[in-house]
Amino acid sequence: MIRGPVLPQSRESLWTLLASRLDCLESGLELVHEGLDCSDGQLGLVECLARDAMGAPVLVLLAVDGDALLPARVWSACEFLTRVGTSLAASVPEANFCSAPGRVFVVGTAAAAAALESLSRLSLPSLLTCRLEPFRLAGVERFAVRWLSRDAVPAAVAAPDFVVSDECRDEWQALRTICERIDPAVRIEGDRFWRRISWRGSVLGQVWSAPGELRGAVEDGVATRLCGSVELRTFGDKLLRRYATLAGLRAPGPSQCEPRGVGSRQLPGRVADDRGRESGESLRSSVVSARLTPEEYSALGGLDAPAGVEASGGAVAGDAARIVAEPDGARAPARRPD
Amino acid sequence: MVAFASGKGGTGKSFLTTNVAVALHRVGRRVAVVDCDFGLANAHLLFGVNPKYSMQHLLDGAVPVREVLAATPFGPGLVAGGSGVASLTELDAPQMLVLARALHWLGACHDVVLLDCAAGLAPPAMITVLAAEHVVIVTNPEIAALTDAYALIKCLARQPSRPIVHLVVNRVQQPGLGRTTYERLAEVSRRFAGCEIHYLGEVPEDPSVTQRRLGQPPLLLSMPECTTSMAVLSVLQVLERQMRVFPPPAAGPGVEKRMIAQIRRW
Repeated sequence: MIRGPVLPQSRESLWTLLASRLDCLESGLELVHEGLDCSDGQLGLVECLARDAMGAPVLVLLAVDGDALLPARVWSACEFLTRVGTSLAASVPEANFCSAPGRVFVVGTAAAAAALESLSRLSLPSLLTCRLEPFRLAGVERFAVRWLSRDAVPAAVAAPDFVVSDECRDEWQALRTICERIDPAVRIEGDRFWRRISWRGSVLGQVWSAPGELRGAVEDGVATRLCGSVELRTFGDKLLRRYATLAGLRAPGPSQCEPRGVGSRQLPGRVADDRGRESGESLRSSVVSARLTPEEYSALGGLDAPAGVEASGGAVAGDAARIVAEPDGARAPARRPD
Repeated sequence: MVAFASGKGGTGKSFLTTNVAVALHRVGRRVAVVDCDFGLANAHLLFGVNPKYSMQHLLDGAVPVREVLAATPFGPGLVAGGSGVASLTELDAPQMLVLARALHWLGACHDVVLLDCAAGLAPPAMITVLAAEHVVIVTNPEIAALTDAYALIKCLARQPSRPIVHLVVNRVQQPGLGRTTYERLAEVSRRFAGCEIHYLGEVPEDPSVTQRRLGQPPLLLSMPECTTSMAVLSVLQVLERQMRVFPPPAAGPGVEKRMIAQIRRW
């Protein structure tokens, strides 16, 4: 039985096969968008803009036999990355690119061997060429990737290990867990001694290691040592607040609630009260303010209390002040179950 | 979303939450109960279930909320809290965010979500109370419960946006004492805190309720004719009527945004 080639030879068919399996080229390679035109429509489209495991941009092009514009298109793609530099991260925020330089991958089959060879002679620093080697396994077509460039092994698929001292290893792991829980799209990336924590291209904070300690700073804050659960939780809270601001998650404004005064009938919906809001009072402050005054105590349990009402001390008002006065990390007072 | 809260523990929040949930289920509502009494949960005991997963698993990110939500033999779904887990009493902001997302999902899948909140004014308790559109404060006639309930009302009154506040007086030994207790508390709340509270009714003290054993079905199912069950049904009817009168604004922020806003304010 005569069978045809394992891999499709037309550009469209080959791309259909490759688009869903970019991680076969390099582990962690993710498709961001298809169809990048960086040559003003003169040289055709780059197949896709992708993101590697480190967060750097990758332009992927296909080499097919008879494509006379391929070398020019590849050269244009490399020039494009050189021109835009790290601004691509801001231009395509949904890709969450890091500041590492981009690369260009050109992928072809045996039919485009000559084209791939000619590209290799261009000696463009950001260019990597590879050839798909087809095979069948259990009747299923598959392919392997053979890199042709001089520095054939692509960049490390995983980010370099963050160097952190043994004393801070637990804190580093806890911080990573906090970031993962804030949002799955939160990225932690950088070099061996510094990491940026970002969400959709916007920086939430940064962390860096120093001898014997781990330090961090939120984008608009000051550097602090992250040396215990209390500092970590505070840092995590700041990251979350920064994230909430960037995500546009705000407290309901005055226009969404009906203002009301003392004694008037309650209006539909949640009630807005400017008590505390105008001064920007925090929730913690409002809890402190919940302590009862002597007049309020008297009004609740005065001399004309109805029969059956027993007099005893209230607990929560005192708890309020105690809870708020306790440093972060202190346990809440024990409560009786209901 | 309705939160059952109190300033003081032991007022009967969990009892009311479970029985109101059963009553809502019986009239055809899709109901979920979330035991937000972190670390001191007991709603699963009142439902007579031993769920595989609890709030601990949810907040750790180990299990999604749809798997933590356990079916009960009596109809309502239950997200069980964690008993005796000290870490759950000190939730951090990311954990509250996980909870916010879980509540959002539950609200989308159910007609009513009841939050059995922790007593007191601790941060997790306040944030979960403020996540609801309606809060039912459960108090008893004695002065200790009254003062703690008022402290909670006073704290709620200071929030930029607070839920509609309702009051139930539980464990009433004399008929009519609930109304008297409510009027006193409402007058103080109106005068000093500028907060209107709505009366849902009183639930009588019944020895047959306090002597119930764990594992028995909720009172509404096991003793539907007793005065306490009738009182709980009456409370639910009044609550439903008031929720129709005071519906949450359609364009208002969802539970997730409400909770995140409170987390930011803490």
